[in-house]
Amino acid sequence: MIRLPRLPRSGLVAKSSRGSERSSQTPGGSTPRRRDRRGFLFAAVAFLFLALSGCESPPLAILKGARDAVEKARRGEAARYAPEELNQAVDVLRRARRSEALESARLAFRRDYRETVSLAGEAKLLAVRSERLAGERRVRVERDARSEVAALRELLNRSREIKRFLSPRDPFVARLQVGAGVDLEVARQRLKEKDFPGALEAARSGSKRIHQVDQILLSSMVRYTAHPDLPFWRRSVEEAIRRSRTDGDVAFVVDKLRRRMTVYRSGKKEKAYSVDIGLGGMDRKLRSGDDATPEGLYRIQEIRGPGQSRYYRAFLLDYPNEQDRRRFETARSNGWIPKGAHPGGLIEIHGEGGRDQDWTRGCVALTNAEMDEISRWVKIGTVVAIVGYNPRDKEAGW
Amino acid sequence: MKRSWFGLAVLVMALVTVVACGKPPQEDIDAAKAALEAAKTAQAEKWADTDYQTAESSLSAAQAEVDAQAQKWFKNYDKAKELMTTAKADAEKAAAAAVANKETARNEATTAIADATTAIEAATTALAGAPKGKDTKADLELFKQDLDGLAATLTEAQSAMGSEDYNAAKDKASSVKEKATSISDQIAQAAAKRAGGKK
Repeated sequence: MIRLPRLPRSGLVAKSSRGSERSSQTPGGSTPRRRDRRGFLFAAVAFLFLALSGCESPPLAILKGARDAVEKARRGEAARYAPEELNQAVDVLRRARRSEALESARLAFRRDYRETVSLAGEAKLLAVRSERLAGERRVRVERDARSEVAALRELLNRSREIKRFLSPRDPFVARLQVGAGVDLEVARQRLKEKDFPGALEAARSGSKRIHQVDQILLSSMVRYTAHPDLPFWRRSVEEAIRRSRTDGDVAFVVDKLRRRMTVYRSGKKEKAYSVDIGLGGMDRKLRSGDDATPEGLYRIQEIRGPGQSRYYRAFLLDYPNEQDRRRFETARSNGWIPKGAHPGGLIEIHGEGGRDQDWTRGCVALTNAEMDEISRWVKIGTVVAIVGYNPRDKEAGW
Repeated sequence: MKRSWFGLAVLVMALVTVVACGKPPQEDIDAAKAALEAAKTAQAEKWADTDYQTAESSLSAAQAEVDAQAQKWFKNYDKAKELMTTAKADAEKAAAAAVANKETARNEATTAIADATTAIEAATTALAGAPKGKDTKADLELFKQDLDGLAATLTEAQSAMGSEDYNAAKDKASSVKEKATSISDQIAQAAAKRAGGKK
């Protein structure tokens, strides 16, 4: 507040006034004292006017605008999606408030809020920018998270399917897949909670595990396609097809790696079926109890219809054949198998399959409908080649 | 007369000295800053984000008031002192909220891990008692692999506890529990189906 100086009342002023009274008194005009007083009043009013016109009020509305913009950016999750930009806005707003406080503390006519206004404007702009960026980034992260989760779901399903073919008993692969499954669940949960960065992180963790699985499975696959038994498998397949062509009969070729059985009629491919094989997966049967499916060239030696088999229909193979017995004897003489073990038997093509997993004790399983279909073509002596990998099957796709 | 003018001048100078040289409330400033630092140490930025922002804002406003008073001829730090006290209280509140929230998250994660461990144990027991045969052997083997995988994932959740990533630990443990429970249910259903078949 500006105080007006008191009107002069001292003797000094009175003296000079008196002196001037004599010299400047005019008829009908004011006295010198009055003129002094008027002059002083005029000066005071002019000073007050200048002082008040020069003084500014704080730009509270502009500051509030900036503060509101920062709050809005915070509500728009700028702290999560655009933290640097939000921090800049907060910092500039802090400087604006400090500038306002400093200016407000000055004498009214010395206040200058231009810096405050400029800083508040800058803070608002930064806040609006951080809000916009946060919005854009949230949309992008949400899109990425949803796409990564969808991709992980597919990768996991595909990986489980391939594991069934290549490494059904590999505990490390199973562990990675279970971990990826948990990651997928966590990612889904975070998507529900709209924690998109969290969902993306979990989904990426799952995808990373699946890629590890892929590497393992790929190396398994390469192992089979360059397997030392490949020439034997090729010979077995060619022999089965040759006999089918010669006899004008059907022959079955079971591809263990692809879990696929191809039917050849008169040497030409007729149809293919998905099959379930032994728990031993790609292991080659050596002895009873190893749950592995044998490999070699066999013939059907007995046909059992509905009611004659526990597994709907069954075609009994002549396992163990001469070659299987020789392998068994070699293994026994080398001490590779326990004493008292025997080569086993009762290897069949039977029904109750279609489970999409390896579950038999060494047999090949199809669905009951498929067994009905192939039973029309089967007779005693039908050739069945069981191989680890059928190099002639180009239609399998891999 | 001279004497009275001199006395007045001394009085005015003394008054000006006393008023103009008012000191900032350094103790309060230090206390408020220390409280905010303590809140930061308590990870309030992570566990009590809103409270921490409020505290930071309060300290900033208090500091602005101190700076404003420092510019004045006639300083009055009463309001600054009051604001510093508020800032300190806000910082203490943020620190307390951080500790409480963190503790809650830790407890929830611990509970989730304990529940998941129990669920895995229950599934393992159920698996051991499951009927074995040619038809079930493959399924049982897959369940066993899954349980091994779940146990390994639970170890990851426990590691996350060690690095104070309680939310990740809780989420993983909850998922593990769900999957282990699902395995127990499937084994129970298979056993019930088998028992029903025998009738």
